[in-house]
Amino acid sequence: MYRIILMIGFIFLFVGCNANSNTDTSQQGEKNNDIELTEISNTKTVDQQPSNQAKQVLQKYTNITKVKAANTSKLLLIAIDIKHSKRFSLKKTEQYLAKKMKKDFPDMKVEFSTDQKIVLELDQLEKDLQANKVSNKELKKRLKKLAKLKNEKT
Amino acid sequence: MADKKKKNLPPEAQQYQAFQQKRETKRPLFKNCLKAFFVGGFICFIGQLITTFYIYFFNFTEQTAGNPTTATLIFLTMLATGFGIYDRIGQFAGAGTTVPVTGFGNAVIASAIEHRTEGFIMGVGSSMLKLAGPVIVYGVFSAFIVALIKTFLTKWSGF
Repeated sequence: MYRIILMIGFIFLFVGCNANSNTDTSQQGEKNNDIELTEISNTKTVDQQPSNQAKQVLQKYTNITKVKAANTSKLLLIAIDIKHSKRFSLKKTEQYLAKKMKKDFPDMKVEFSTDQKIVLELDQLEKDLQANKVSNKELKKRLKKLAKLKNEKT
Repeated sequence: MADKKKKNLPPEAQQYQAFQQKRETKRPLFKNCLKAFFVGGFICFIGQLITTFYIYFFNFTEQTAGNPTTATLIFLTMLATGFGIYDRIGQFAGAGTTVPVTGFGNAVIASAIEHRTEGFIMGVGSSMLKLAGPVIVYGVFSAFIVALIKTFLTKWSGF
């Protein structure tokens, strides 16, 4: 009896895992209205056009709930948050979108992250940029620090 | 195997076994599983709260917040074991408290307390990892085996 219950349990477990890992990263909709993004426009620092452009591209993916991005003239840092149910395929999604972003911005060094901390920090940076509180030098410094934090393993 | 052993027993013993099996109090397996599930889940919930705390208030990312979270959980368990709280929770929840990393902390500190009377070197020092030692040994050993399998698969079969 226990063996049967155990077997059924395992079947459910594996079927469940399969269903979740089958998420298609290339799922694109018309325009995702639930997404949280702000287009930055400020006068004090480097033009944030690449960041805004990246946000427009990522907005089409229905699985993404938040997009935060900022850039200097050389470095573009993007952080996204995806739907909780899609987190099983987080690594795959990250790899796919990072590759796409690198292809879309070949002249810049693109750092792509799905980490909650980077999303939080970029959110704060975006607010500061919007309020014209950040100088060019500070923006560079903060982005460099975030890129370093993103690549930290331990 | 157990059935084969039973057949070799004398008839009286077989009779006795049948007799005691009828009167034996059944273990509430489902209830125990439920308790373990919820208490173990609650410990993991606390762990998640600590991780979130480290991410929000310190310079840790999702990836790097794991280590300080484990350390904090083990520290909290050590305090709880010292004050005798963890034993009570353990009695109630069983595997729910031993499977998470807190079980490891409990095993270390419980043996340290138990052998304190034998002195700090031969007692606490040598007996502290009596229970937790096997966890480390087999943890490292199984990690080695898994790493070996992964290396073989990725290097030679091109996965």
